[in-house]
Amino acid sequence: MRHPWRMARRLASAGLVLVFVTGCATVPVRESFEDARTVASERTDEAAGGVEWIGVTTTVAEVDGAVAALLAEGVTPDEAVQISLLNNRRLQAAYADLAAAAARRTAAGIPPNPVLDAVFRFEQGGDGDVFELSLMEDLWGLLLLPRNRRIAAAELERSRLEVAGRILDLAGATRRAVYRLQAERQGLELARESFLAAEVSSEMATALREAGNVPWLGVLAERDRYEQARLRVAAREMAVAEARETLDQLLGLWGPETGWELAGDLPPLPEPDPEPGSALGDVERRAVERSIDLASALLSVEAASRRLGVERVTSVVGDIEAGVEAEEELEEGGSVWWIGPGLSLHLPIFQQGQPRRTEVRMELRRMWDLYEALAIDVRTAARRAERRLLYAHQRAAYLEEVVVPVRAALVEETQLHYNAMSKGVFELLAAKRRELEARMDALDARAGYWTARSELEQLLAGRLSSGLVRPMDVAGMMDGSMLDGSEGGH
Amino acid sequence: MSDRPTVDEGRAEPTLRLKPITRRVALAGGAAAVLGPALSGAARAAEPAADPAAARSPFAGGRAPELPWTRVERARHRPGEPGRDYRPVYTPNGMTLDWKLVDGVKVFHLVAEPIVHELAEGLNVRCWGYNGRTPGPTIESVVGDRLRIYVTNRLPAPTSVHWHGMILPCGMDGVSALTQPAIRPGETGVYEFVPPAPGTYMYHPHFDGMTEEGLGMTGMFVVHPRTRREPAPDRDFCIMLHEWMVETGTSRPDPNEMVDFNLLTMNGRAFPDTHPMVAGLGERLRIRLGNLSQMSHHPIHLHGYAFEIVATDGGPIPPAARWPETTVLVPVGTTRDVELLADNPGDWLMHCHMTHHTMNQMGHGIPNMVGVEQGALQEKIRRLVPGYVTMGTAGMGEMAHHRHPVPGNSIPMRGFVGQFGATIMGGMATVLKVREGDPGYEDPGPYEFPEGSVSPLATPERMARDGVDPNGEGDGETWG
Repeated sequence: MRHPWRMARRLASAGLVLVFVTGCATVPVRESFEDARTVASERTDEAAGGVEWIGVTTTVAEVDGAVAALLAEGVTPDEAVQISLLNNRRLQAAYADLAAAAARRTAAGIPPNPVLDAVFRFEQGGDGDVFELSLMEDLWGLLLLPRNRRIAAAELERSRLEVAGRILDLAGATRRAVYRLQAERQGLELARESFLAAEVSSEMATALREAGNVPWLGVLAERDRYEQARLRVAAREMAVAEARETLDQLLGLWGPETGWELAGDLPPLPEPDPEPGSALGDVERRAVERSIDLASALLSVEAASRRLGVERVTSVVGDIEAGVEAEEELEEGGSVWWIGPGLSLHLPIFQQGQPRRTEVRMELRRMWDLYEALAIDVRTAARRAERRLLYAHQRAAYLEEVVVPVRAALVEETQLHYNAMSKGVFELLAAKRRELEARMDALDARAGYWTARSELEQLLAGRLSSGLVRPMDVAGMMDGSMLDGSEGGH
Repeated sequence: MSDRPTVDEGRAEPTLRLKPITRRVALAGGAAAVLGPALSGAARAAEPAADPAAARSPFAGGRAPELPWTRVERARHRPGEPGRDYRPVYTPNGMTLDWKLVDGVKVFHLVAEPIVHELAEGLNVRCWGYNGRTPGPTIESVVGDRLRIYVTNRLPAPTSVHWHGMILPCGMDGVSALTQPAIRPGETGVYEFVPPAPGTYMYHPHFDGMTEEGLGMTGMFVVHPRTRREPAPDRDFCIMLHEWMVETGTSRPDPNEMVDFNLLTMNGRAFPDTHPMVAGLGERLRIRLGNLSQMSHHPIHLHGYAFEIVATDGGPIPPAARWPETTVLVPVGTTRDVELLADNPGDWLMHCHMTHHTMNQMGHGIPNMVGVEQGALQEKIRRLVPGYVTMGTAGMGEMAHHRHPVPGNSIPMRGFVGQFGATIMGGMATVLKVREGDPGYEDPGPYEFPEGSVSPLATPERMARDGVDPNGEGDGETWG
């Protein structure tokens, strides 16, 4: 070596430059989560209760304590949402996804390491030695660093939006599961009352039979109605259990924790907006503007587009490495250094990369079409949600204000005729059962209103829920629960 | 005078031999004015047949057979005046139709029209009637009166008036399409005839009987005799029987109902809103009952008396043939006159003895609750329907005490409140109130029972004295 000091200095300064170029390679795990949390809390109040990443922004003990405190007395709907945002493990898993994307973004901002090749060869049977040194850098990795960084940034942004979206999803789903549980619970009470009417009807028929006043046929007919009512109550009890399990699953609870009580009934129907559509107004435009799903899809398109740009270059000529080659030969008279640049590349003779470029271009095309499809979905969902909300409100209000009062009046009027002995006790009880069924329908309709409202609010916060993607079963909403006209009487 | 009795019936052979002819002729001739058409054949026998052979001919004597009203027309009676020629009848809850005299003819005006009628307090029905009422006003006249009755039709349907039981020219019989064209809405028809015989008759439409009679178009028509063989009764009551189907809570009777009538009336009123018949102790009473119910005959039973049935709408019943009864069956489309001496003081129920005919608006589709143990069930049902009360487990009687709300314009649980309590009785019933002295026709209030005359509850001492054990089986022999 002729000038080892100079070599060492060159190496050292090259290393310092590299260090500056790379910077600190720490992954902003916490910050990326907090950014996602900020996005979510800007869009909905549901996240105001606290969204935490166990192990990063809070500890297991703190979360357990918070959940236990919330479960202590009756759990209100707001508290249920808080619990799910703290305790749902799938949501926690999404945070890790986000952190991985952040890591990839960080990695994409760092130049590739140069490859150092060092070879010592010693002359066998002689004093000669050869020292070869090559330092090669992936040129594409270096030249395309900014582009690759921008691709990863887009992917990270998409992942951040996705996590915010998952927070909104979970909050919305929990809210709707609470409404369902409230509705099923109250519906069960009404079903039990209706069952009491069927039970008493059957007992009355038996009492009539014991007095010798009706044939056994009449008793059996009432008994049949009683058993049908019993089955309906059992089904309602099962529906309550299912609704509870759904909620427990969303809240991430198990074991003794599932013994909590839901406080509060389904909220009453609010007064309708004086001008229909004034609060909603332009739902389609707002849904599109705020849509996380669309922004996320657009970022996918952007990433694909940038990837295409990169591929256009890299697909023609594969890897290019360039660097410095040095060789020292020890000969008589001293060592001789041979130093010079080196280049390694694939020659595009057989493969020029069209298939790869086509593939990536088609990927971009696909991303774009999916983005447009999603835009249609979001717009459709917006109109659908608005229409469903209006209909649900009208239907619930109509059932509560018109249908139930008519059925209640039927009971009262039937009772007058019962007092006049022109209608019997079976007709009176049947009228009561019909009133209770109307009340059950009204309750279900009210739950349907609140569910529709939650879906619309979630959409305007930016997240499309699955219920809005599919058409509603309108025919299924027309109740088959009307009892036939004449019942009872022997 | 021929020695062979003949009855001129237009036959070649005599079919009736009457002996001795002179007495019979005298009886027939004298009674004809009173008994009228029933013995018109015998009256004709008063005409002596100059020639036996000629007597067989329908045109014996060269004259057409005498019409039933010929004699009275020829007699040219003066128009009968109340008080002077007859004692007017009293129609409880009703009235008598006014008439005016025009050239010796009594002119009446009936207006057939839709009306609103209070069948009982708390129950108003929209039905059809005459001159604002149902039954229509009683028409009263005397044998031989020349009558002219105008009938104005304000109904939405054509009508006519048939004079039930009256013997008159066929053209005045009032059967739409058969004897006259119907009187269309807005038109006024006129009937003229001379009642030839006394009796209790009725008047009603004859176009669409089911609808028009069913909706209340009925009325009594009393014809008093010109000469009397027996003293007139001191009080003379007129009662028209009718039945209705008014679904509880409605105000329109259903004339299409054929079997299930739920309201029965005397003079258009249901008990306890029927005005009582008031009489003085010792007075002679005549009660004229007419039945224009749609479908039901009514056995009218009077408590406290055995009366005699003295006439039908066919005419008077000879004294020896009068049927003694406590219950007179009045079939649909007939009248029955009964007479009694009011010698038994008190409040006497007179009612149709068909038990359902003394109930107001009973429902007939409810379960039979008699004897059903409902104790625990009542509480359960109250949880669903507050205010529910078990009904009917021991019949209807107790229900009259309770005042449960019922549909508007209905009287199903109304019942009757007397001085000793309440019962559920209603329907086709009234009370004959016999009082000392000369009471008017207004309700004198409940009877003041003499001390100790009301059946008391048996005290334990009394039962012990007579060896009666209320907890044991009753005494008596069993047969078989």
